[in-house]
Amino acid sequence: MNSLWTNNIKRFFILILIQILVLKRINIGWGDLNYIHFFIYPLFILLVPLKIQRSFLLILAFFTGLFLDMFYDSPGLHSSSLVFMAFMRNYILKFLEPRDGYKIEMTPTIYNFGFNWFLIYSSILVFLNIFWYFSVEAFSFLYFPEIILKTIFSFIFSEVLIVLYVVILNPK
Amino acid sequence: MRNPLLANNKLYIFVLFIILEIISFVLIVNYNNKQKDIFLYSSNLFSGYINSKYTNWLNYLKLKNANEQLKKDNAYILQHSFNKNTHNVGNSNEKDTLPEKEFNLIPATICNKSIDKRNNRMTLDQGSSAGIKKDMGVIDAYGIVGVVRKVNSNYASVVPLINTISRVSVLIKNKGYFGILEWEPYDYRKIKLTSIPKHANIENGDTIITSGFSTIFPKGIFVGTIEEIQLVRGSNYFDITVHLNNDLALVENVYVIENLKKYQKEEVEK
Repeated sequence: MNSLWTNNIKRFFILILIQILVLKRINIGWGDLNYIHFFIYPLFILLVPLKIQRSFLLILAFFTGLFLDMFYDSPGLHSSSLVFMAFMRNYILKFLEPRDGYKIEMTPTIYNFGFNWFLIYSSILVFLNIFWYFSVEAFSFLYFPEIILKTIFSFIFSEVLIVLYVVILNPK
Repeated sequence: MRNPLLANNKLYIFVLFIILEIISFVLIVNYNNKQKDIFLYSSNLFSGYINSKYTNWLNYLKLKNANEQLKKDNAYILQHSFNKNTHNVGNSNEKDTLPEKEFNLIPATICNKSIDKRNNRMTLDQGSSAGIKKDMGVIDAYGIVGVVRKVNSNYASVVPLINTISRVSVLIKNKGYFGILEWEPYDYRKIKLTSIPKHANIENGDTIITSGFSTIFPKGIFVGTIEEIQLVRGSNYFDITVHLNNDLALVENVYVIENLKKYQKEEVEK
C-alpha cells in the first residue's frame, strides 16, 4: 500500500524531470513548423492505480499540469489537456474492461493486462491528450491541418517513448 | 467490488472536470498572449456582430426621428447657402460675422399628391403652426416643387409645377435670358419654358435656374435642363421643353421657403 504511493510519487518526479530537462529541449521538425514534440508526462496519469477516486484523479491531473506549466511558461495549457485525459481515463478503462473485470488493487500496466491492452489503452489516451493540447495551444480551429499534423507526429513519437519506458522498467 | 469505476457519481465528476477546465482556460487566456489575442479577437468579432445587429434594429426604430433630424440639418444648410449667395456680393473684405438672414427653411413632408391630372395638387403635413404661409415656395433637394396656395393650422396645399395654373420665373444660367415655366399636361418630367426671344443663343442641355425676381424662390435653385428647342413659325419666342431635375412622382421630403424680406420688396414694387 505504502510502496504503491511512494512508487507513484517517485514516478511523478522522474517523468517530470525527463520532460522538463530533456524532452522540452528537443524540437524536431522541418520548415517553419516544429511538428514533433515529445510527451512522457501523460504516463503518470496512465499508471495511477485504479482505486483512486475520480475526483482526486482530476485534481491530481490539474496540479501536475500546472506544475509542468510552470516550466513551460504556459499557465493552463498542460493542466487543461491532462484534466481532459484524466476525465477520459475512466471511459477508456470501461471500454477496454477485460472479461473478468478489474480488481481494485490493480494498476493499468503491461504486467497486469498485457502488452496489447496497454498499447491500446495508452495510445487512445495519449492521442486525446496531445490533440487537446495542440487544439488549446492554437486556440482556434482555423489551424486545423496544423493541429492534426502536430498531433499525429507528436503522438507517434511520444507513444514510442511511453511504451519504451513501460517495457524497460515494467512497473507492476 | 467488481467495478470500482462506477462507484463515483458521474455528474459530480463531470462538474469537477468542467470547473478544472474553466480554471485552465482562464489561466490560458489571462497569461498567454497568443491565446489572449485570439480570445479577444474572436470575442470582439462575436460581440461586434451582436452589437451591429442590435444597433441596426434599434436604428430602424429610430428612422423616423433620424429623418426629421436630417431634414432639419438640410434645411439649415440650404438656408445658409441661400443667405450666403445674397450677402457675398459687395465688399469681400468686409467680415460680416452675423449676416442678416433673408431666407428661412421649414422642413415638411408631402402627405398627399396627384401627378396625373391637369391641375395636380400636393398637401404638406405642416401648416401655419410651423410658420407656413400662403405664396411660399416649396423645394426639395433636387429642385423646385411648387408654391403654397392654401394653409390651415396643420396642413398646407401646394400648387406644384405640374399644374396648368403654375407660373415660375426662371433664368437660363450664364446666358441671362429669363422666362416663365408653364406646364402642359400630362408628362410630369417635362415643362415648357416660354418668353425666350428667338434671337437668344441657347442650346440643348443649358441649365435652368430660378431667377429670384419673385419673392417666392431665392435666386439660383437648379430646376432642370433644356431638352428640346423649337421655333414656331411666325412666333417671336422659342418653344422650349425643359427636363425637370427632380422627379415629382417620388418627391417626399420638401422644404418651404420663407422669405423674411418679402414685404420690404413688395412694398417698393407696389
